[in-house]
Amino acid sequence: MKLYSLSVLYKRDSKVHLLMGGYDLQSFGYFQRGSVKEFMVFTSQIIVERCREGSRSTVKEQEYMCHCYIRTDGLGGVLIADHEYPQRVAFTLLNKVLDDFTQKVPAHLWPDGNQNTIHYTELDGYLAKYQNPREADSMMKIQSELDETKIILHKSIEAVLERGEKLDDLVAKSEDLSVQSKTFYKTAKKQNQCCVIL
Amino acid sequence: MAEELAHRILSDLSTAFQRHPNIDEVGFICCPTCQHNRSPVVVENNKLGIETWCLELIFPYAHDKVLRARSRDDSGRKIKVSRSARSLLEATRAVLLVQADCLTAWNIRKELVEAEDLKCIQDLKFAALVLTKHPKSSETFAHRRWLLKQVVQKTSSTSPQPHPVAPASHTNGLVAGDQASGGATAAQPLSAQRGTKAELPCDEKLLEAELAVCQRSAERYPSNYYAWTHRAWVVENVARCHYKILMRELSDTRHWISRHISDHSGLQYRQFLITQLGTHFRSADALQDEFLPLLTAEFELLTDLITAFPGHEALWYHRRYVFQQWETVLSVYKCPKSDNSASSRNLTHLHQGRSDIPAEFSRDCEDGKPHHATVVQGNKKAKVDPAYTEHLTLQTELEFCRNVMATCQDGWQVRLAGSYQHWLQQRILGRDNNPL
Repeated sequence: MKLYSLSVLYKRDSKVHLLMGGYDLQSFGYFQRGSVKEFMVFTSQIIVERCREGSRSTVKEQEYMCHCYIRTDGLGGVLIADHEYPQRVAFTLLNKVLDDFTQKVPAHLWPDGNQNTIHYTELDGYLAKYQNPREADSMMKIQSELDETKIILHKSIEAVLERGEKLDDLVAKSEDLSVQSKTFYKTAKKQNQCCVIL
Repeated sequence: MAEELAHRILSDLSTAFQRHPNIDEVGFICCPTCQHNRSPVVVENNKLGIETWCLELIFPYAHDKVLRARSRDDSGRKIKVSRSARSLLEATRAVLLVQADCLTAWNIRKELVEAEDLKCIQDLKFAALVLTKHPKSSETFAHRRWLLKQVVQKTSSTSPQPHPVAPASHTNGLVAGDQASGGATAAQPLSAQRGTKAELPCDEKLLEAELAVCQRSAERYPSNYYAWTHRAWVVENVARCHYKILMRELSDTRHWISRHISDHSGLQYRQFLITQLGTHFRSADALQDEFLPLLTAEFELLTDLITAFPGHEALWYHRRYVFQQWETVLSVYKCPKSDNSASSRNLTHLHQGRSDIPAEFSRDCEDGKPHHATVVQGNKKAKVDPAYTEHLTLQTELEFCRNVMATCQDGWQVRLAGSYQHWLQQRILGRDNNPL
């Protein structure tokens, strides 16, 4: 079981931007990591954009599971893991990270914040610690901590998109993805590879 | 023109390998057209990157070279092509970095090894590099096996023939297992029979390197069956199923399977280790005192993982294997005549259990905790009636299933528990109908 990325985003009026991200891309090839990271950010953003405030959802994309929790105040977290990683631990971790983030970063910085203006360095630490879900042994047992909100399961990224939207178009339009990453996406798709995110 | 460019890129590749002898990974850089006027071969941080646009140039060029070295005339005889070893090495290298399953290219490299134009160790290093890009290339693993055989043959011809059972001694500077890996080994062999095999029948460094290659490949590609079967081959043919190595591998892969709970191939490797370990215990005493605790530990590991991470089929199938092993062991030293009153009581008890399985078992095992440990380890000296042990194990297993089915909310996990329970019951019934 593996965790790949943990990001904190802010959503207001259906606009979403990344506040901070942590990544563990050791299992990807050295020359792939740049593109993989861009796609993790891109995917996290799309999911937060398409999911409602106050909801928990898990989007399955090939062998990746993207767990997403958006609070009613617009602060959202996305954890990208593999399919072995226990869902419950994933959501408990997201709860914890958002709480911690709220404590350390004042809310007035969120609307215009980005990775350069916000100082929050805990994400990599959380990722490393929770790589082994049993490290957080108490979390394995705590079930009640998650409130009653049901977790919505989507079978693919395409499933969260709105009617008429196409992932290919979103990739092509994206300004955050580099030319290399876009080609990477196209080639991977053509070869029907499953070893890349998206 | 294209050929000229391909030739130049190939020599860029060679220069890269010369300048950076410690390249430890290879990858492609996604780049469909040549955008800069610079070489598509990049080395960064000891990682070799090849831009994708040049692959369609260099691959046909190098592949053609490889095939021409293999061409035959009309009567099927090889045409002598005067090619330097160097150019063949370059061409096969380029082909294999792109397409690792090109057997012809690997075979040419085998010939180069035989002609002593290429050292085994060098080619092992190259094949390991290929595996970083193509982690489940079966031909690459096959080539490694061939290379390892060459190395092992060479070492065994200079030292007395190592044999899996006879003590092996080494004169040519090989590391003895005791010094190098004493700490990692879980337990010292107890019986005198296994004590004679203290020394490893192989080069420790070679073995470590090979196991590390398997580990990396398994890490890079999930459920990498090729990597795990290769690992089993290495343990069998390089380490010759040495007791110490088997035990160490068993304890080393414990962590790995706890982190890859749906990986059948990793668990299958563990089954290989356990089966091989079983052959090390010859006497009934050794089986009971050493092998059964090992199976007990495996049951406990599985109980722990299945409970913590519900819904993974691989773990349940591994459990079936452990149970089967357990049964086999008990059948080995099950004594036909037991005049002991306690044991005959247990036997009747067992028979009652068989006639009405669910009711009987639920009465006997109420707290639902695994009993394997107490049964075996608690009675190390006193002989336990195997029939009784077997009965208890069955009970524990059925109780475990019932517990899971009663408490787990994961529907898939409940189905898996149900099918395991069904399997157990079928086995008991089958045994009753066909007495041995």
